[in-house]
Amino acid sequence: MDSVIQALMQVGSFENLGLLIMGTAVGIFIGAMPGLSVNMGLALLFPITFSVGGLGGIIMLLGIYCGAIYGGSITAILLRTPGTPASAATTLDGYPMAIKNGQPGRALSISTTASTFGGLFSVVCLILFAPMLAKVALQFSKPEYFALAIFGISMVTSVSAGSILKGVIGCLVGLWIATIGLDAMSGMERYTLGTLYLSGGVGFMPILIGLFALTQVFINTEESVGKQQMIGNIKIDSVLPSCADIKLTLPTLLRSSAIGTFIGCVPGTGGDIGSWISYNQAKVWAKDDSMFGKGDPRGIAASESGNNSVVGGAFIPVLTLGIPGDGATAIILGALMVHGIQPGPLLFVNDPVGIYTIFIGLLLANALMGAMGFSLIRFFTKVVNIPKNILLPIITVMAMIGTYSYSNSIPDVIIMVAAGVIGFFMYKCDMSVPGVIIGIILGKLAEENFTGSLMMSDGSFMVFAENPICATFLVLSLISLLSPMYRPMLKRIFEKRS
Amino acid sequence: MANMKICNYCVAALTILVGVLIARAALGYGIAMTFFGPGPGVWPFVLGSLLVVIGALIVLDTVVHSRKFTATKVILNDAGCVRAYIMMAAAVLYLVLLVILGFYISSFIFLIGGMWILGMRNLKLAVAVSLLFLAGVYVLFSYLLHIQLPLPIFFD
Amino acid sequence: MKKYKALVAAAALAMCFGTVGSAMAAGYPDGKDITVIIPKNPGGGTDTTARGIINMMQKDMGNVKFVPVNKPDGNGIVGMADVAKAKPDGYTLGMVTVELDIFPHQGKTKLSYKDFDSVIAPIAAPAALIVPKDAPYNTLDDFIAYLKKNPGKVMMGNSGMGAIWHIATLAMEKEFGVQVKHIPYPKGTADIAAALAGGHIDGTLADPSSFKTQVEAGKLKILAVMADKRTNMFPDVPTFKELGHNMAVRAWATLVAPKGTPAEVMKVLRDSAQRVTQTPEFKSYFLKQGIDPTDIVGEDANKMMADDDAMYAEFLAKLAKK
Repeated sequence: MDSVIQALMQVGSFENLGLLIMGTAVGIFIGAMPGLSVNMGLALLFPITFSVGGLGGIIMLLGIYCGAIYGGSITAILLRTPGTPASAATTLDGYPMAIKNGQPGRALSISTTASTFGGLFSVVCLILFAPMLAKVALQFSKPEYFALAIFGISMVTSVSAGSILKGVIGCLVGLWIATIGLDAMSGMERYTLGTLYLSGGVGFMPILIGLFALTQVFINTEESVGKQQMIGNIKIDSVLPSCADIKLTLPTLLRSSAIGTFIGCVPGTGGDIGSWISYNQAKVWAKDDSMFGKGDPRGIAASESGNNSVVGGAFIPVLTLGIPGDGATAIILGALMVHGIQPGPLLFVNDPVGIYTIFIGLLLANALMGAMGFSLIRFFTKVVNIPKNILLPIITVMAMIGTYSYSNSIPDVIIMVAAGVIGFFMYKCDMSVPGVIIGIILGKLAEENFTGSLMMSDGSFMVFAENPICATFLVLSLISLLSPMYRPMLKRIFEKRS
Repeated sequence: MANMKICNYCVAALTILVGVLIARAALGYGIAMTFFGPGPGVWPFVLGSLLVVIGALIVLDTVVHSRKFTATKVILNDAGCVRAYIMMAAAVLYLVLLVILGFYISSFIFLIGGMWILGMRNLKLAVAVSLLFLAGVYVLFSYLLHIQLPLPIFFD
Repeated sequence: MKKYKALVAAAALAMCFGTVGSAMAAGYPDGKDITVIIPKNPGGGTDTTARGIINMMQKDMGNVKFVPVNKPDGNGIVGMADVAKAKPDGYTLGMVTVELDIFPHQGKTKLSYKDFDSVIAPIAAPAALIVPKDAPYNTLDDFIAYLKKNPGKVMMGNSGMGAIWHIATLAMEKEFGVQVKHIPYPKGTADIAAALAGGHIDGTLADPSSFKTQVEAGKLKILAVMADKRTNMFPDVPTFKELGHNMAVRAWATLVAPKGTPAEVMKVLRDSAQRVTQTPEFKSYFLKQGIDPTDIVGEDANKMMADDDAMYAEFLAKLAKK
């Protein structure tokens, strides 16, 4: 018990609290700016953790991590541009609610609530169930990862707005884009047209930024003709979510947070996968899913709690096994080790103060993130009121900055612009974008684990049926893939009964 | 003015073409099952083939629901679209200038130009906003974060 | 007024000449920023190593700022090429990894170690043979005997076909005349650690830093390392060399400058790096992360890159012939 008190005193010291606040604020900013990634922010501030000494640096990194995953939702909702890949699903309902329905404050408050809820939920799971969840995570080998990836991909039929077939095309193209470059499973270069740039694969960030930010600029440009440049005057009454919204989204919050925590604790999967699967599950389980994609609060709640709950989940393998759950936790793991906290099975025994510091730090970081988010909602909403003829060019420039700062590569910027143009024509042809994003995110996970599973089983396809977790996910995927076909039928059957 | 039917056929044709190209290249990478596992062409071949199948399905769907698709109009050349195309051209030009003139100069030009395309006629406001924004970017990126933005090519 | 203007103009001219000439003057780095191109994504092992070492050198040198820039394009080749092409004035440095010695022999690039001049190689992680604790073999010889009895069945994880740990495993196969099943984990050694911990593969040859926690917790054990000397972190683990097989495969990362950088500039950088290696901070930064720091500075680092290049050239040629 006195380890807890010691940890509390450590985290509660003025200096460390200040660092936590600064870290969370910086994290929210990095998250909001498209192109500035969580890993970049952590890597940038990693050396500062040494000058600070003690656990202050670690606490700061925790703040950055939590803040960044939340920050992405701000630009996702207001500008339809996910600040981080983990918030891509938030654009589907966040942007329509904020801009088309004119309720930016409501959208932001739901997303802030969901992010905080998801984060806190996952930390509680971390504290209570870490060893148990870690055991489940260790069961995941290549067949299981493959099945998980297929499960994610199968959502494309239910998530695509407009024509489902065209959504599937987008997904297939996305999956193919993921194959471009050096294939690590065979050592062969594919679809590189002999260029050096392509041998490293097509950047995911440029396509994300182009398809979302730049395409939206073009779409808004088209809409701007004829409309007067009214300076909007959207006001908001309260920054906290209404009771009705809370009641409506509570089941979604719980379900999505659980999904995200689980995804987080499986090493190698991150917030982007967590948010998409949560979003899809929210749609599947909703009695009335007609508003999804048009501004349903549950869509925002699912995506944001799904991605923030990955944070606590990702710490489970870190603290119990010393194995990072994703790229960001790999950096934090390094920082922990340098500061003398040895994660792993012995951590709970050898260094209880260290562990409790992390727990308390994470809880505080999430709470702070929520507090900061709520207090800034009024400020963020002002963005919506900026006249479009100023805002759109600025967004374009931000897209350029974001793409270039990600990898310092001009070819990436070219891809970003190309994606923006193509995205516009996709919109015209009633082809939705989520499919492409899902394809690119999950492409490598799916293919590499498919090939790898067959390598391990000497070519036997039975390996997918023999592993129970794998088989379960594959069956779920089939159900999910075919859902648009039988859901209307099921609905009619249930309606007839009642 | 086009309608969705024509759009669908175009999309289907493109999809089938791309699918065939992908699958052909995949055959070249080897789709046999070797000792080391499936060849590197297996997965892309499946993707390419699926693309061809879906393309065909779209054609089928369009033929079956021909009336619905003909009725859905796709607007490609009204004033709004033209403005969007101009913006696209501006974005491409911005990219070219970015490489030649570096970030700050090309962004300044684009900001002014972009605002003009969108109907802003108050030149003083445009210049003021652009300068303010770029100053903010400079402070944030060059000064605080030390993230480098493209320089003009005649700086080396 | 005219006189005043002339004075200002003269002062400005003087400052201009001063700045231009200062690179040659006893002023390197003279307060200017030094760009360090890291050909990997932020947060990975090479990236944190690079940021660590330049942070320490920055503190040591004082009046300078190192600016790390990530350029992961083209598997890092683009980034390394940028350093090679940069003006050799000491204001553009870069990190190169052992892949620089491997890629040219796989036809992936025309770059080579000859395009660079080394400052310091702070890490050179050896390939460690890591297996689960409860495996039925406790020494390298036991393991090889087991492999001979079960050809093609034992699954060894690596970080990608054609990448360094796969090559290390191939080298082991050739040296001992055995055959294993190669299972790539493209995301890196963290995934291999998870697979080993979960019992999905039987072993790996990889750099031990990702496995340190599991080894210390008693879940994994290291049978041998492919290095010239025993590691500081695991002093009880014998080297392949001791056991009669002279194999050394190490994943190093070197801070380099483009070839042709003036000797005075290199001296400033190398001296600073040398001083940094003597500090306790240097040792603890790397040791705590499970990396054995090395103090291979300057010409020694050049030699290391040349030696490894020759080794991979020969080995990969042999593989291709087979």
